[in-house]
Amino acid sequence: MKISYNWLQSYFEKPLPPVTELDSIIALHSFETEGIENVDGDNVIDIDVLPNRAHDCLSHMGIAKEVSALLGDREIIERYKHDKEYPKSEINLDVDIQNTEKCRRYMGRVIENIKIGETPDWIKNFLTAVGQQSINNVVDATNFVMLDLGNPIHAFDLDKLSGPKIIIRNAETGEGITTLGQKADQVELDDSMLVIADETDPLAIAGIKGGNKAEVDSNTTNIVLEVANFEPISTRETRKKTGIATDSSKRFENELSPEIMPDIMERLTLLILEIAGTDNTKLGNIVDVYPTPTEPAIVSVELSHINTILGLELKTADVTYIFDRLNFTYTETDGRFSVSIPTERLDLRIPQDLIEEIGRVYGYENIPTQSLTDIPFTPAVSGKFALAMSVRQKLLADGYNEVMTYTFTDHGKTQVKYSADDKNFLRANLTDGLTVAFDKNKKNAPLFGTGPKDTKMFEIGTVWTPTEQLHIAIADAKGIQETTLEKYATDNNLTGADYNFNQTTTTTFTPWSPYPFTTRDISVWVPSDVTPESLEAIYGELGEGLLVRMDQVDKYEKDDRVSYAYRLVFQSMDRTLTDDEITPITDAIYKKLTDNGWEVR
Amino acid sequence: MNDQSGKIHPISDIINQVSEIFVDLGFEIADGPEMEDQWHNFDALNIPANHPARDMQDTFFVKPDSDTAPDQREDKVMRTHTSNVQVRFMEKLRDAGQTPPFKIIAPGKVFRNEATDATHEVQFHQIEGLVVGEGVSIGHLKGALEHFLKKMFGNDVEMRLRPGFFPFVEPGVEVDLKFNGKWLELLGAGMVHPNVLENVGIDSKKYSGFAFGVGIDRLAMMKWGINDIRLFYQGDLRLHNNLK
Repeated sequence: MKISYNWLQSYFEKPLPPVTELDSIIALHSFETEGIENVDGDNVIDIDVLPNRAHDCLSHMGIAKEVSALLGDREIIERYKHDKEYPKSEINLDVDIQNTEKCRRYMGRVIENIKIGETPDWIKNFLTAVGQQSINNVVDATNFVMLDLGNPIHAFDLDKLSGPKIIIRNAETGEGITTLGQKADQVELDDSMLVIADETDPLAIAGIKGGNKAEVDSNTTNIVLEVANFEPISTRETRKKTGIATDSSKRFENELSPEIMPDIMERLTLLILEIAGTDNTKLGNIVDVYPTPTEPAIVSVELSHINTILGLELKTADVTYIFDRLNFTYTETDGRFSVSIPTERLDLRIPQDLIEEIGRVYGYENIPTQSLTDIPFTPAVSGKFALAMSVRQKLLADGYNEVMTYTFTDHGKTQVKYSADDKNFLRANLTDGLTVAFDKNKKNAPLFGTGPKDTKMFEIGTVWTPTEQLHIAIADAKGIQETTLEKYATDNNLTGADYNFNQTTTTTFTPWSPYPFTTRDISVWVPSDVTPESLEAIYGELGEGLLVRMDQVDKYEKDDRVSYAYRLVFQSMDRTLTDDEITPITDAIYKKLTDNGWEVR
Repeated sequence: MNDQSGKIHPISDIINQVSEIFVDLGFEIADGPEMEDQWHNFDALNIPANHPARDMQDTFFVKPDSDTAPDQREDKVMRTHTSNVQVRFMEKLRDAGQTPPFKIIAPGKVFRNEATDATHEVQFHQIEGLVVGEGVSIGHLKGALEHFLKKMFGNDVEMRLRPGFFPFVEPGVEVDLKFNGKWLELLGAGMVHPNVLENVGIDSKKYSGFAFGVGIDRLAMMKWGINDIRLFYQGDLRLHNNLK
């Protein structure tokens, strides 16, 4: 989530640390951060809120609470202040939740005689910083409060409703809705989806997106505010079915606490009155339908348990110090803490959750490392692993290279649900995949300094026949042989008892060229005191950076002369080489060899 | 050239290196199937049925054999991590009437149904580590990982733990490695969630444990500067040839 530094600062009187410092505090103790972007003088931190904290931290308030806990020296101030009194609206809003599983709580409120207009700059600036467009003061207020406090909000134009009644019901199959910003595109609804409706039409896809019918526009004067709580799984399913993902759907899918709603309705009201209120504004009562209130959560944890899991020796006071910073209410008796979980913290339900809070605020960097030697255990040896190790060692020693190919293929005996139909089977053998790789490698043999006949490779891998089995396939000049790993091991007297972790000396990788290589063979007679190294020096020097490999392929001695045959491999990293480029190189080599008085064969 | 040894696949090479480090610390190498039932891949690991990880886009679901009666069909998946081996090992322990402590690692191939690019593949390799005993703490986790990373990347290596979230651990951490002067996310770890222990009959009041999972492909790419994960699975010997 994009978090504006200036917005975050508005929660605190005391200045925040510089943005880079704040970024690293958040990264080490709360969430990974993806970078800081400067937007019109504000700094925006992109924060990857963890899935278990998406209940409470997809908001500036959530992050402000984190910052308050982590810095430990500043209080969050109340920023919604509007003290003008307004007369009561006489309109009686009716809210009817017909599906109380999918809509857990709904709060509605009428405000009459507001004035749609420009949004104050301070809100506009915050919204712009986090990439939101300004629409009008009321719509911006709903967006602002969502990004500020975390609960999505909707505003309807009351005069466009069939009456002052909001119904939360299942959509009817075949029913459609034109969503905000769309002209004629109807979204097809079905009875698995929840809608907000008046007595004639759907007004919004619940928790996902509003419809055109009751859109707040420049002529709107009377509005209904919605602060609601929708069930996560059905929101997710509707989002997937409709393909409409919004800031709202994201928050409901991650589950919000219905208990946060009253505060949010109060603050939303204050903000709308402040920026859209008129001398004639009338304020309706909050209509709150909350069929099954959620029980407050209390979680207990023992000091000894905290210390066991974290590997620390904390005292009661160390723990209460952290709980205070997190603004937890708790009691403590004989090292047992009983914590009343803040309503929005749906992630805190078991003692280990509280231990994590203590650990991350205390700082994992402050936990001393411990040796594993005090955990006694006599390991057995995995038969399968050891056998594969033995077989691998034998084949490597015999000059075979180990490769891996894909498990997914276009034929076999077991199918997987895979979108690409050339990959929707599990391989039933290794041979088919290895055959393709083997042919390719034979063609590339000059790059490896071998002849095609010397290409030797093997794969140890799982196949489904359809039973899951570990196979080995070996490819060489005799063809490809495949069998079960067990049978191969038995036939070759390998038991797995003798395996060892052979260390390689690999240090670095160089990417290869995607362009084809070409070879030239050069044979030359030289006096016997001329070394092959001096020939290689000539080839290397005249190769003009295109010579990627040279291999001596033949050596023949007669009288006091030696004939050396070399295979030169040319390849470019950035183009396909042509004969016109290679011929001048080989000509220069021939000339140099002849100038030295040597006979080119 | 014929009398030369063949070259090991870089993934096997890293698996050997990592395994050796942990075997020296007294770990057992354990294994399990690549095609797995949903209990061992998800439920036992505290990944509930509505978790996004069980969605089509991440998991390869195996099509049940059409000859099998619908109520007999097992809902199998290609394992999305080698964490299934944790569950299988602990179930075996329970069935044998044994109790912790134990230390295991599980190297193996895993599968994710996602779009492929230079850093994403539909198949890759992972090593899972699991230690359970009385009094096992985050300090032990840090000790094990620090030892591992020093052996793997040299004594100067720096490591840090940050909060992370994985359903099968609580607390959960992400582990970063300072590599060429930059912090890189290397692996996920944490203290085994009590639900995971209880699911396999281990008393979570008496025992605690840590688990970690590290991507082998990523380790190989970091260690040797390999720029594309897909190069591992082409059976192409240019990979071996260009590793020097």
